[in-house]
Amino acid sequence: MKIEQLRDDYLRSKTQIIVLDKQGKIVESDNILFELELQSNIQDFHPFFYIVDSMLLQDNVETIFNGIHIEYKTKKKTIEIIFNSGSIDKNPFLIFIDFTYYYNHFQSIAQEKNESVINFHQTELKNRELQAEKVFKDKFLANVSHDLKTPIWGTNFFVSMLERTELTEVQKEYVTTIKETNNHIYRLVEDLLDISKIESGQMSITTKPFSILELVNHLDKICKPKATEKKLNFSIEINQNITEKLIGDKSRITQILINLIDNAIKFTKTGSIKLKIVQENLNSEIATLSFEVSDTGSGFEVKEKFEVYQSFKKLHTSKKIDGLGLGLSIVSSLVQLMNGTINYETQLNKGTTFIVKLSLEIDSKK
Amino acid sequence: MSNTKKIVLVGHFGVGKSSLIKRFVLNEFSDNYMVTIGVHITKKVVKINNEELTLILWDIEGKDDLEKIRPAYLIGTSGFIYVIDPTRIQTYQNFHKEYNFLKTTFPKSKILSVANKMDLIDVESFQKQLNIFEIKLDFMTSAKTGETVEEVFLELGKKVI
Repeated sequence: MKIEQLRDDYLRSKTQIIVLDKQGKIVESDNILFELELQSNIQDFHPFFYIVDSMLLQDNVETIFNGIHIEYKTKKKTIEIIFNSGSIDKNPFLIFIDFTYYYNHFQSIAQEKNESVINFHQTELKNRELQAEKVFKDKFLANVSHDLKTPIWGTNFFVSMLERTELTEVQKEYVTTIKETNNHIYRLVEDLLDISKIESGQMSITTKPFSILELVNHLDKICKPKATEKKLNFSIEINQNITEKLIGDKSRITQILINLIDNAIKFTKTGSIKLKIVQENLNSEIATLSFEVSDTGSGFEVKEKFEVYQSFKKLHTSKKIDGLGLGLSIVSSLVQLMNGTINYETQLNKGTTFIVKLSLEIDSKK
Repeated sequence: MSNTKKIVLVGHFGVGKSSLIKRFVLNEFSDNYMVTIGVHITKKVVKINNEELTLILWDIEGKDDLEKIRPAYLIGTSGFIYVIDPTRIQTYQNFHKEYNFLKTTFPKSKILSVANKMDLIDVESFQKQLNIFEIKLDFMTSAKTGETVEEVFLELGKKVI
């Protein structure tokens, strides 16, 4: 068998030759790939051939079109089309070459590549938008908080001055209300500042030796009056064998617990608030403490965990409860900064328990 | 015999060129993205000013640079629909360069610019993006909902007739 014969045999099944007249009628076709009707117009075969129309009357035109998808009767092929304006008895002719296998293979590769590029582009844009929003929010919070603090200090100063003057009982009561309201605003502003520091990554944890018993006494002094005012029972239960001298950020641990207890007081109408502190390990270097703050309050509907700790999301929709919804977000962020964990258990109308676990270094110095 | 015009949809891959054609010709949409390799050609007869016009629609494979399109695909084009995806800046950051390429290479062809997938984004924030790039689009569409799709093809039909 000669090379030419081999070539004919192997390529024959992959090609089709069609001869047209100058009006686009099919004069001859070997119909290897598609069954075309003689004397019909090539445009009736497929809309691609409208393009050929303008080239039929031109001389010496040869154009190659790659990757043309043709669906005709039951056949679906991707072909290369060579158009020549007149070399077979001066008639134009077309050659189809079947590249279906090649294109199908390439399609699956391109599919994978394009999908991953599109995902990357979309994620990039989303991240850019989120980043811009975050920068705006952080800047806004920091600026507003700073601007609010100055007039609050001013008001506090003059209220203190006013307190030292001779006042009637009614006036004293008014001054106390102004003072309490001002302190409340101050705490809200502090919360805003904290959250903006946390979200901009400027919040840091300062570790120093401290006494856990002193911290507990301090908490008792601050929280008991608030609970008593609402006629709630407040108690602290602390493990007798707890390691007293620890190293950590006392003021931030205090902030975490005050926030949780304040929250508990806020959402409890009757019953009690309890802080329970347990040391979970007996390691000589690290003490893992579990702080449980439980209440007999309203509880809340269990949501996605991230939503519970998201800033500005208030768990309780009651309009009677004031606050910005920053407390739990600050608590959660501070716990994270200390490499601790926070969890909760809640039952609607029965109460909530928040459990914070922190591993603190034991202060071995006498 | 009706008048016949070749319309080519160009733009990056994944902007929804095939979906626009599918919505216009078959009134169908699929959420599954299927990459176009090579070219799919379909036709649709429309009526413009009571005259029949056959649009031969060339859905060519998406390119990140229009100059890379195989020149044979663009022979005899009467109108282009240049499609961008508002959810991906990369598909319109070189808008002016690509639009000018079409305009100068095919001075007799009409061009309409279209943002598809408008169902996925907030129009106001996208408009801000367009302002940054100083882009003025002819149409905003959604092949998914069908919004403004037919208008695009009919408008181009009017321009090329």
